[in-house]
Amino acid sequence: MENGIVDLISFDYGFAWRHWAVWYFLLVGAASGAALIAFFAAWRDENAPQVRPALFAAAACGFTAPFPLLADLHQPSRFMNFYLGAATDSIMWWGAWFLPAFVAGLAVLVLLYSPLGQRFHTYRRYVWYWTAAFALAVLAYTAGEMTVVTARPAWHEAWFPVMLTLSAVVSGSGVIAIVAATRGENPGIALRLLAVGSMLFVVGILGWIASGWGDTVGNGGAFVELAVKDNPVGLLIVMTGVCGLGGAVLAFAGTRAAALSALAGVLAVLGALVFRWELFMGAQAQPKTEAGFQSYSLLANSDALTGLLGTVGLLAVILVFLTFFLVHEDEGSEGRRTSHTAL
Amino acid sequence: MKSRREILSLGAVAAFGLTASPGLAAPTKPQAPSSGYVPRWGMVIDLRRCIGCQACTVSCAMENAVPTGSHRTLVSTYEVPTEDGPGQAVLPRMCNHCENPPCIPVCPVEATYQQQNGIVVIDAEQCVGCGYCVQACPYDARFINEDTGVADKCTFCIQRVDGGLLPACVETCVGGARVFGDLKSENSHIAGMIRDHKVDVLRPHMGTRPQVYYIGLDGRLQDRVEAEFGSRQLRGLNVHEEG
Repeated sequence: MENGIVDLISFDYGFAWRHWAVWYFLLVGAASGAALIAFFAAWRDENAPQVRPALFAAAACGFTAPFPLLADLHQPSRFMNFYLGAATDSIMWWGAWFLPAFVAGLAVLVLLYSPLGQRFHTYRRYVWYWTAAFALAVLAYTAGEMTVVTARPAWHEAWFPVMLTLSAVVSGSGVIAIVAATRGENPGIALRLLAVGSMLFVVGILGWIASGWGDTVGNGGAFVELAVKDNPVGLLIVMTGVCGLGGAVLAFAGTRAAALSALAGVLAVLGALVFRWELFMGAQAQPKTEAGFQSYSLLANSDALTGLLGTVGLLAVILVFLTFFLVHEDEGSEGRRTSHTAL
Repeated sequence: MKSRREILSLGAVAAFGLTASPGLAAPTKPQAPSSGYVPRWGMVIDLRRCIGCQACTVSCAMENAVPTGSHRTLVSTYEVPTEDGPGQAVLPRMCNHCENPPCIPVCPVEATYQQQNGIVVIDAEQCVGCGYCVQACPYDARFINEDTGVADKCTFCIQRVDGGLLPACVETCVGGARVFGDLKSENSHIAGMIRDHKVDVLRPHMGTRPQVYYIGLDGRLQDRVEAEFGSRQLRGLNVHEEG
């Protein structure tokens, strides 16, 4: 737009939501997606081979997620304030209850699927219902709390909650594919979901861009500005497409090769990460008035890089920790022999 | 015959009368809340009188101990094309103390709320610094205070207003562009200004019903300003060069 206006005195703020928000939304989305996939697998047979890697993936991401969430608070030591009032108008307040309920459900499931909890297997179905319900609630609140923000046009579009939720399920299936491949287990429907979901994701991105093409930022064009016009953010959308399509192809091919399915999983997670980075950091760099935020680059920001390394490190520790509880299906077959029950 | 003290007093009154004539400064002092009457505080900014000196920016920062690099108020300054060539436009920005503030319902810990007198405030002891209100404000009026780690914004200098003083930005405005007062009172100076002039608010389509009104607002600055280039881009260039 050429209007001849030049800003002579303006200022930039720091980002209110930092890179921690990206890691949190990525992890909690993947955890919810993986938990739902595990739930549907357990629906038929709670000891089906694909349940264990899916639960493993959900638990690893779910247990890690609260840490970057706390880190994103500028006063993390005051987190108890969430529970000392009832701000029912705030979706974030509801989320403060949904998240621990979801994580608690995962924790109980891990115990029930561990060698220690085999004799309590009859309770699994109730915990699965609980966990699946709160996984849905977490997906709803994470998408909802951002969609209601009218001041951020890129979030306040109908496409946003759909695409955020879809990418959560895709990333969840991606983590399952990685876990299953590394543990030599069966990813089951996760791989098919990854393939179909990745293609839908790419189609959705293109549809979102097409629907807002030619519109102004406040009238449907905010995502177009992020995805196409803003550089280098525009480049990221290409990466999202590559990850999505590549993930889909590899997932189809990976049904016979564990390495390919693991690679498809990595691409799915990477695509979800890129998408979130673009939507969260890129949208915050979009000025609401003229006073805007500074651009926030992952690669040029040491805080973001160390945050990423820290989060991945924590995830790795939790993954190792989980191996003590969710033993390989060959080792933990006692439960299967005793409880071939459907939910 | 008048004493020296009486002559000095008359001189002071005359001088005050010159500076406090209608339109130059806000003649109505905030009413003490103890009277039982609850005003609805608001502000009119007469852009015809603003010279962009940033005295308001500085006095606000001094009064409220705003960290360096953050601003509760700031006069955005633009070069805009006019019929006579490039001209300068100024736009003081601040919290609009909206009638329908979008920052309040999103707060998960009820740390931000609106007083009966319309001032939107933040309980700094309650705020967890989640930044949700910063996202929800359509005016970029909120920020996370680097020193305190909680959300921060203009409060109309509530600590001064409750004591019967004017906000610091109003007190120091050399052009008398900022007028603070009770929007409910028909006799107030601010109500008269709104009645007698064409006033605009920023981003009216957001449905927030701002209570900071502007006289002489350039329509090109009312919503998101599509600045082509300028200081922000220059700062960006510097970042890239340094990076």
